[in-house]
Amino acid sequence: MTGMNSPHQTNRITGTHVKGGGRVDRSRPVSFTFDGTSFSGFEGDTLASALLANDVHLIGRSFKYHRPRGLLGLGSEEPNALIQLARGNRTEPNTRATQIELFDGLVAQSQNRWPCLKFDVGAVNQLFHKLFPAGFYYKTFMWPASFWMAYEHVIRHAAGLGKAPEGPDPDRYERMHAHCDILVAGGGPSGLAAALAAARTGARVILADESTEFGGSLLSEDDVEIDGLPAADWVAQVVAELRSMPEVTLLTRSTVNGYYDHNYLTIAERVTDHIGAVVPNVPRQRIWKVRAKRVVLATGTIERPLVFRDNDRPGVMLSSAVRGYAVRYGVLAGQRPLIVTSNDDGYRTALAMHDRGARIACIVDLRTEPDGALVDAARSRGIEIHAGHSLVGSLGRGRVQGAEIARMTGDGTGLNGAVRRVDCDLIAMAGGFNPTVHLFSQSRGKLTWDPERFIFVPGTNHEPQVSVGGCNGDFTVAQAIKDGLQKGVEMAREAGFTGRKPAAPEVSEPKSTAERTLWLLPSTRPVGHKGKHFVDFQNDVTAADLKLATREGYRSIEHVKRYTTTGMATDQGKTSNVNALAIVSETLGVDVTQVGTTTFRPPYTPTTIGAYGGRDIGALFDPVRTTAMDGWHRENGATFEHVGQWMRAWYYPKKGETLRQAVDRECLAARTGVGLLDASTLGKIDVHGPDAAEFLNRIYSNAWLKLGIGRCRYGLMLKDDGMVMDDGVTTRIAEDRFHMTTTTGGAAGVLAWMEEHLQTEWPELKVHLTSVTEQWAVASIVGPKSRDVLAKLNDLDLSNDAFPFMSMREGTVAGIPARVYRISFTGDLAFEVNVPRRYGRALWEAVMAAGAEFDITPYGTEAMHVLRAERGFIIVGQDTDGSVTPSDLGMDWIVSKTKPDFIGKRGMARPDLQDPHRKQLVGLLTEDPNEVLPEGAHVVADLKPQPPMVMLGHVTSSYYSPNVGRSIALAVIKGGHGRHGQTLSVPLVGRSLKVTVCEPVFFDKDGSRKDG
Amino acid sequence: MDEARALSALDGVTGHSGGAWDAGIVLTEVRFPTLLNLRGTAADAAFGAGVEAALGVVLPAAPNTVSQADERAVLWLAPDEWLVVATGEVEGLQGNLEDAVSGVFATVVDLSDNYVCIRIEGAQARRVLQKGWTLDLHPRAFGVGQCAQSMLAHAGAILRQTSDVPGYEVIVRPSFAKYTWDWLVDASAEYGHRVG
Amino acid sequence: MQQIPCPWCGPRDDWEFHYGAEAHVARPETPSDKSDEDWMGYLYLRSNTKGPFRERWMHAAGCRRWFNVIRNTVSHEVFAVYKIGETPPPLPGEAPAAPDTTER
Repeated sequence: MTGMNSPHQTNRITGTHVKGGGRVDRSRPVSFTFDGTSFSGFEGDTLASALLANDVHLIGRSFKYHRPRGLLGLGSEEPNALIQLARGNRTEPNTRATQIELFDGLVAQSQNRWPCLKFDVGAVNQLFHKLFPAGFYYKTFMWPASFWMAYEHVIRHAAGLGKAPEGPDPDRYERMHAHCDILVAGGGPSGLAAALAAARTGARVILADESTEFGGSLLSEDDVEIDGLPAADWVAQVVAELRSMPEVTLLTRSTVNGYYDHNYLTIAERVTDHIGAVVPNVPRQRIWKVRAKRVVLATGTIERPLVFRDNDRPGVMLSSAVRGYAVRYGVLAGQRPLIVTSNDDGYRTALAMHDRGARIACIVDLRTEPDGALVDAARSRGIEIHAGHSLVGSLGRGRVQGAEIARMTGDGTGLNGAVRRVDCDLIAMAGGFNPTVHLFSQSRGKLTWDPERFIFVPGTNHEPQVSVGGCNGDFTVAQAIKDGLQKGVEMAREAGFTGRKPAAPEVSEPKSTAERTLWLLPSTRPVGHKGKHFVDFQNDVTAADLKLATREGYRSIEHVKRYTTTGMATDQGKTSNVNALAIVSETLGVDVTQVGTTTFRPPYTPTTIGAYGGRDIGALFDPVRTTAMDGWHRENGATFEHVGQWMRAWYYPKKGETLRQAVDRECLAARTGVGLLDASTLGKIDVHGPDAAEFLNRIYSNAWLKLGIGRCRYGLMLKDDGMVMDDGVTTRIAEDRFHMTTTTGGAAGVLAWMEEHLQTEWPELKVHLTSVTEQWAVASIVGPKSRDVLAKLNDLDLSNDAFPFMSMREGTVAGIPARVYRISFTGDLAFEVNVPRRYGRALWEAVMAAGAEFDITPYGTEAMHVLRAERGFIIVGQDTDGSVTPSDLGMDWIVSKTKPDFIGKRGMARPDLQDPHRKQLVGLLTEDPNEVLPEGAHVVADLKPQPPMVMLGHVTSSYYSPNVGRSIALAVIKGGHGRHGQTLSVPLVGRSLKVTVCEPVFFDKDGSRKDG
Repeated sequence: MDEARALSALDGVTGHSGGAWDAGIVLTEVRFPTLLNLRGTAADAAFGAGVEAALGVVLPAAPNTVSQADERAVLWLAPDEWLVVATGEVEGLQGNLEDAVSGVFATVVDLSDNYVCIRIEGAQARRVLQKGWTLDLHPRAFGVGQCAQSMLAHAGAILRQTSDVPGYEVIVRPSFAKYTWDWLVDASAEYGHRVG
Repeated sequence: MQQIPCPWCGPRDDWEFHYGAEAHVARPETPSDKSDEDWMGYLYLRSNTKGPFRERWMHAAGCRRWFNVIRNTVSHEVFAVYKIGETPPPLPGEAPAAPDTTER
């Protein structure tokens, strides 16, 4: 298929006017649909340029009033043409038609209209516009609060910007970390020059531009020559040189969208969006996270709309955009354009359109005596110029069909002549240019108001960076390139490179004369009376809304912004902020700087959540840590639970068993026969050095100096405030070496805590700490028959005399070198076998085989919890919460009275911690032995029909205990130690339970079972 | 000990060796290297001399550098901490090292089971790693003879460059091994990967 | 994202570190001598400085060493890094500590 027989595109420049052929590939037609209608464009088009080529101006409806809207801009500044792209779960709302590259089969839909774009029910909002003044949400829906739900339902249906997909996003997104010497944001004339100058020094350069190709504004100009070449050819030369340099990374379709502390920037790269189809294994988008030694901001400018009556009608566009569509895309946005301008730049648009075959309706110039080369060029082409005129308002239904113009008074505040109607199909607004200072502002740079030119320019920078070209207020190509070359080489030098500034090229471009800035074009009536003067197109904020806000007393732009919502739409006020600020300051009669400026925040343009998520989804969302025995657990039907990042076997149901049945069986086996628990996840720390015992003596609340070699001891770790922080059993392996265990969740924190004290408080102690958590796989053989099982695998003397409780022996188990600890977390006889991780599964299988004749029962974390609760053993973090002391737990026995100091000793001595009414650990028994209290339930003494009630504390652990034959619970209760025997209440939803307070031990109260 | 009973955390994860000959990335598990954590005082000459005598490798003094001789590498982890990575003949290595530093305040801990080591090689290896490794791997910033500790995606890792191909070794805890392998395979998707 | 300069590993992203709050808050030698008021001060009261601030960091994802940083809590500018036990450098705008002349 060739361009010859592709469908006709009304506004595509053809024939003798091929001067404006544009940068689209006319040999590659592309078909697409918009709201179900098929259209044709060319490769290289954006959706916006292709729609214009097909004379489609009506592209969306506005947010609040549902007014018909068309394209305003050319790039990321576009506030109106928001598109719902694609279908199904790939659909994406709020994409800007100006940034969507056309591909064959593209499916686009307008947003914010119902039932269809041309006839929109919501447009009746316009008739009731008095109901939608500034602050309308605040005024209308604040009372009564209970009605908000009803209001919201209606508002969400009527408003809303596009629709989110409902299923998982099928596309792939990635992240890339990068470092560079110089990051250049923006690939227009100044950015290209800066990148080139920096790259020639050998620096690592990243150049990113949000468009499909580098060149920026130069791609939209036909009247600029650089070193005798058309501007676009100079661009191609520079890009070719950059591309040949290995240390340069060139990123197109890549928006530098965030600028954070210490020159950390994010770039959103659209990798395959322009292809349309899913490319296997290649991301749709990629977020670059860049640390740059120096940053060059070359983000250019955004043209200001002019504020006049009904300036939002489809066919009212920014002048530079109109020129861009003509020069870059070969599309005439209108056949009979009217240009309204405050400056010479509007004339460039008039000339570009005229020279491509458009009939210029007229130029309405706000200036009274325009002159200069561009004005002369327009006159010489016979273009009608109305100097000192205002554009009173646009006319037309659905799109521009004409305009009203009139001569202004000398001061530009009113009209001074009859209103005349001019026929036109396009109004191009040239209101001057604003430097794009968003990234500079994001990086905490201070903006300066230039009162001569009415623009914000970068003032004091906060990060090591520089702004060049348009975003620095330098609006000529010559200056942009010269400055870019200079700053590029300066930044490279600051980054440690040497090099000379390349010679600046000769630039030929039109010269501009003075402009005349008017923030609000005078009309026949005051603003707010008939017709609307839009300032913020995306959020439907008018000049009248801003004036109303000032009448209601708002003074700071930060308040006006939130009250009127100006600048708060997804475009962050790219085209509206300065106009809004100026109108507010003019209305208040104060200087712009007194009204303040708003702060820009990332991202510069809306970025999909998927891109930020990257590959952190599904199985890669968060690591799942498993033990050496995990495979066995899976093969044998275990059910799992998450414990932090660990996945632990929860229980091992036999066919048909419920959780309760399985756990009951496991708990009984561990007390009557033998059970086997995978305890590998416990934290383990090797504590070594001549001062190891002294160190433990300071870290734990009990005494450690005299612990014998091969003996184990339980310890509580406190914080200096006296609260329990962690617990575990620590064993003396040698005179100068201990093997410490911590809770599963506390492992990393305890190691860090101990390192902190060694490094900062007690550097004189000679102790080394090494995490050995995963060096060892741990199988706990538990129960009266555990000795019989272990005896089959081991030739150690396992008798109570030879291998007493709380001791450790080294030997082999099933032929595997092992450390066996006689410690117990159930109170029954138990052996904890530690082997190098690689043999964990072999050990487990050997124990299961040896235990078969004793009906050995693997048990999971649920039974582990029940078994320890039966004996009243606490779990730090479940029965404690950082506000519980050893005394609160009834564990005074583990607090040394004789050590002069340990961490927590002084804290515990505070009077508050001696209070007998503190929350203390107790047991709770329900009236009905089968009723299991919910964990977290509150306990009260004085039960009332409904809250509030005085709460005494809460249930921390609660289970059904098959060994006790009833439910058991642990709780922390105010003054609990003195309440044993009392009856309290636990209020639940719709009912309450009576509980009896008891000692927190339910089984083997004398602890006699530990020796089997 | 019967090595047939030893299981790596990556057994059943990596799949069989092989894959497309033109794959851009080769992932290999370095199975059970001997890993010894070493703590001591760098400024203590006796400590340094002892280590060198036992290992035949000079203790690296500069942060995040590696000393290597044949199949022995010593990675700097902290001003008083190193990781010895040894393959080949390792019989008695730990005992020799312990003996050599027994006269000074020093600690040797066997961590051979506490880590899993994955090698990633290929023309695109750097790019694959940079998807989840925030430190700069550009040759001007990182090369053979250097190591670093940070996170590879969500797993704490020790990384060192082992060849100019480029090739790297990633050392992670065994409980993070499957995640790390899966992550590397996923990140390699656009270049294809082969299991070495 | 801020970069914190580890004295050994060099500048790294802030997430690699554990923040240790105000520096030079020493644990009392003999806590039992301290009044409840003083002990409360040690446990809980910090200067909450706006501006240049001496604070502790620990390179958690790297070498696990604690060290001190002088950092502006508003601008995030890092002025100095020094190891535990080293004499703190002066804050910006503050006169340097009198040089130790005993050996000269």
